[in-house]
Amino acid sequence: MKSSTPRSKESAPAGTRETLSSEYRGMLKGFFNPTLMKKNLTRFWPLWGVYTAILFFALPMELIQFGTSYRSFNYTAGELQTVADNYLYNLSNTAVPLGLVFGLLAAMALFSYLMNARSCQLLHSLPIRREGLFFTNWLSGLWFFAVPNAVIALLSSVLGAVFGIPVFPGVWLWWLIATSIGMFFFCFAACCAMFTGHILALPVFYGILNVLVTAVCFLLDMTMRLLLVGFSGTELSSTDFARWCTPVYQLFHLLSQNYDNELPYGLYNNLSDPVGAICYCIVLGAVFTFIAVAVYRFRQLERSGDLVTVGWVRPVFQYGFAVCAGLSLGWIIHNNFFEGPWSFIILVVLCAVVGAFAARMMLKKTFRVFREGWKGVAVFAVVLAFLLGGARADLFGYQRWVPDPQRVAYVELSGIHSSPQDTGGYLTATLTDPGDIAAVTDLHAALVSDLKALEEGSAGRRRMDQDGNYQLGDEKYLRLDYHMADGTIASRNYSNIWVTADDLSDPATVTAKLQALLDRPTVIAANYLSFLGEQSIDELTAVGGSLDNVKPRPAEAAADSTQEDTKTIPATSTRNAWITLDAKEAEVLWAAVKADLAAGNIGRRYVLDNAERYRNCYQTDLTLSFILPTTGDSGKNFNTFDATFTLQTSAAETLKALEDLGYGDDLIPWNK
Amino acid sequence: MITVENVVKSFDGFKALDSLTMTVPTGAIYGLVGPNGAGKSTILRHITGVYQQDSGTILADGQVVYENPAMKEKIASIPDDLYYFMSASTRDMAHFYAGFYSRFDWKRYETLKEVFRTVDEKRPIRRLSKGMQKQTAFWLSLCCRPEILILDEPVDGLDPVMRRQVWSLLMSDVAQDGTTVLVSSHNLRELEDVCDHVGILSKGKVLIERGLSDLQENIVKMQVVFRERELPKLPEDMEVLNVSQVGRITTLIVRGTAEETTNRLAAYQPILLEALPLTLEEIFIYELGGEGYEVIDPAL
Repeated sequence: MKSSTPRSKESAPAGTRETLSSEYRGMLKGFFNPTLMKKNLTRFWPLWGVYTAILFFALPMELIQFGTSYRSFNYTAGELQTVADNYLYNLSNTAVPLGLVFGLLAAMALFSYLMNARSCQLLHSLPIRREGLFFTNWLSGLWFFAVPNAVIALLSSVLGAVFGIPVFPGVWLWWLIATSIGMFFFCFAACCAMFTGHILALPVFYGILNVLVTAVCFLLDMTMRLLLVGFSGTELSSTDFARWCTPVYQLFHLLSQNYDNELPYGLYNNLSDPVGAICYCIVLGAVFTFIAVAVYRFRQLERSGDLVTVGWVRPVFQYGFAVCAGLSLGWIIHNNFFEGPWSFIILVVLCAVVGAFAARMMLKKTFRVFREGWKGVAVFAVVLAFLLGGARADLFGYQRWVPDPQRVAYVELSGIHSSPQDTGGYLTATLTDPGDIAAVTDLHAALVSDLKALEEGSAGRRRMDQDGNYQLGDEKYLRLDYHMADGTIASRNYSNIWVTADDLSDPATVTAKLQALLDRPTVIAANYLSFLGEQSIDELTAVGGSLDNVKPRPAEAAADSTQEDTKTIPATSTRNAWITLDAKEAEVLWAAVKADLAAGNIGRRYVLDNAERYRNCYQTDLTLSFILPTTGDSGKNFNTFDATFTLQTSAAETLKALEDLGYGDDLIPWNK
Repeated sequence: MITVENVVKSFDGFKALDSLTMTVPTGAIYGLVGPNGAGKSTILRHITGVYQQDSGTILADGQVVYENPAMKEKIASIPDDLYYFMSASTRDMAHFYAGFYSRFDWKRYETLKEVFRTVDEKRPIRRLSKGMQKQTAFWLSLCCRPEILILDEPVDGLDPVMRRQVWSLLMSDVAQDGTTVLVSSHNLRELEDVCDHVGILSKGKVLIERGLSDLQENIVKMQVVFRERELPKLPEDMEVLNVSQVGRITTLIVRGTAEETTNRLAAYQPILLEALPLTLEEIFIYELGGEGYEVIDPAL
């Protein structure tokens, strides 16, 4: 019987039961070959021998050493268990670098026959299916890790029993972790081996793919930050996604050790998530194995010696390499020799073109790739230039986008530094009030209406007046995180917002809009009390506090001559004098502060350190300590927070309360 | 029987096999000849199940070879470029092959030890000379008791005695067990002695495929002395592959039988007319000459 396509399987001629049976046996036999397995174990014994030797010194030898000396430390049974567990936990972490290296070496050894035309021909002319070759080699790899680990675990169990060290069950948990990690990295490297036909390319691919996702996320973030004004960064390189796709990072994360306060320094009570680490290795190892078998089934053996063996991966490699080369080299050159986004785009495109030809040279194994490859590279360069240039020219509308305030559920603000330097000095607020949100989008619209100004920032402009007393201008940083009603989040970062004293009087300017936003009572409350989260201000109870930078009382003044003339010495250069407030005083002052907050009389912010700021603010700060009830797993509890308010002349209620408490004369105004 | 039908294989756009069709009868010694780069090794790698064709069919005894262990167990091959595991001896490799080929014949292994007596079976094969490595390849292949033996330039590196020895072994297998042998070689003189079928490959296609005697009977070298000095106009339907003239003697290579060609040329009443048989090498050269692959004299 003939088949019409080469891949279809032939059945034996009809009516010949014996032939069918022998074919069936042959098929079964084709999936595993004990001779090949034996050959692998005998050929590559130095590999698993070295691995076993390392483990032998790391565990049984350590146990012997510890077992002969630990009695002099007089450990209790519990302490001895903890010390033994700790050593095994550390060894579980060591399994990550060991698995990373030996997984690769095992795959390089076992699948090296695919990288050489002659060995490839020998193995593939044998009566065994490709799946048979793969699974026999795969099982050999499993043996390389599972058996040496098991021997070491068994030996350690015996030594533990002999020396009375409680290594059970920790040593078998280590066996599970170390074996699954070793196998995972072996499966990963085996999967890489299916895509390449060059033995030296395998460790390079393996190394790159181990960190590819994090690296690409980082490169893209870096590029977009250079090109897009306001780009906040996807921060993908530090997300769970990137960690999941970066095995070493993820395994160290899952095998991190939890510190227990009750244990002596250096001892930990358990591994973070050993079951998670084992599952991660098994599931992803299985996925990589599945991909490897699928690719191997259709691998073109004539590609032995080629950098990439799978047809559709070759252009992916060429242009993926080109993009990475373009972005990384372009960034390095730009950072050292150039400025501005357009020069960056040109450099990226040029480096990407070089990268595309270099990748083609590696694929084709010749330097003569220009004549036949220039068209594809030219199209690639045009597309890349269009994407980068388009992003820069805001063809996609990213830079000028401002949300409709109606569609914003709430917005988080952070970053603006303003005076005075108390709890509200660094803006951190979550705004839910529609009026506040509208004020934010209004400010945002003003910001993006002049992208050039945002890019230039201060650009050498004057910051202080001639006497150096007051600020004329300053650069501000602002991060906006819009939480939209549909659940999406849009973020923007502006690091060069230039605010000037001249603009404060013009309500249409960014400076004035920013000042207006900061002066909104709801924004002030949200900023000073950002620790409240979704809890109400009424849930706060003031339990104490202090007045800092007060006039020194006579006894203190005598003790410290530098504080004699406090009117002319800035608070920051004095030695602090303070008054401690009891709970009752704190409660009275908190009621007054709340009233001032509601009226917008305290906490007024100044985007510039100008004369008005010095007129309105005291040097004296009022710090209140609060307790806030929380409900957790262990029932009702309390969290404690502090908030510091620089006293302001406008805070009538607070000043009156201080006067009533007898602290009115202790406050120090600015005389600037 | 090996049947290859319309097999196409391309490497990076280059067609190494271009609708190649050939048939190797059971029990035949089939010589595959062709110029360098014609696709001989490529088609042999397809027949041994190493490469997968882009299209077309390759069957051995009616079954697909590719990814069919039951069929591959009946095939042994000696590639042009041998490979043995690092530090493996002949005996080690025999154990290895025995683990794959259920019909591996240890008794034969011991018998052939005498034939390949110059090969130290315990010495790493990679330390043996090229010729000895080839002997090892024959030794191991013959022990697999194959029904089909695929040989790519098999006697390269063997001394004349050993060449004769291995051909003798092969022919005895063919005679006794009906083994089918497919062999590619550039040594046409040698193939002529052992092959009963020949296929000529050029540019990924089989140009001619026939029994050797058929092939030799179907092309003839005629030495003629015509009455006139000038070559008379020959019949249009006479397929003349080559014409050369030395003095008055004209040598014609004509496709056809000796008898038929002699009768047709006799009509010109030549002074001398003689039909001579062609060697395989001559057939190869003249057939490929028609394909634009001939010996040329460059003006140096």
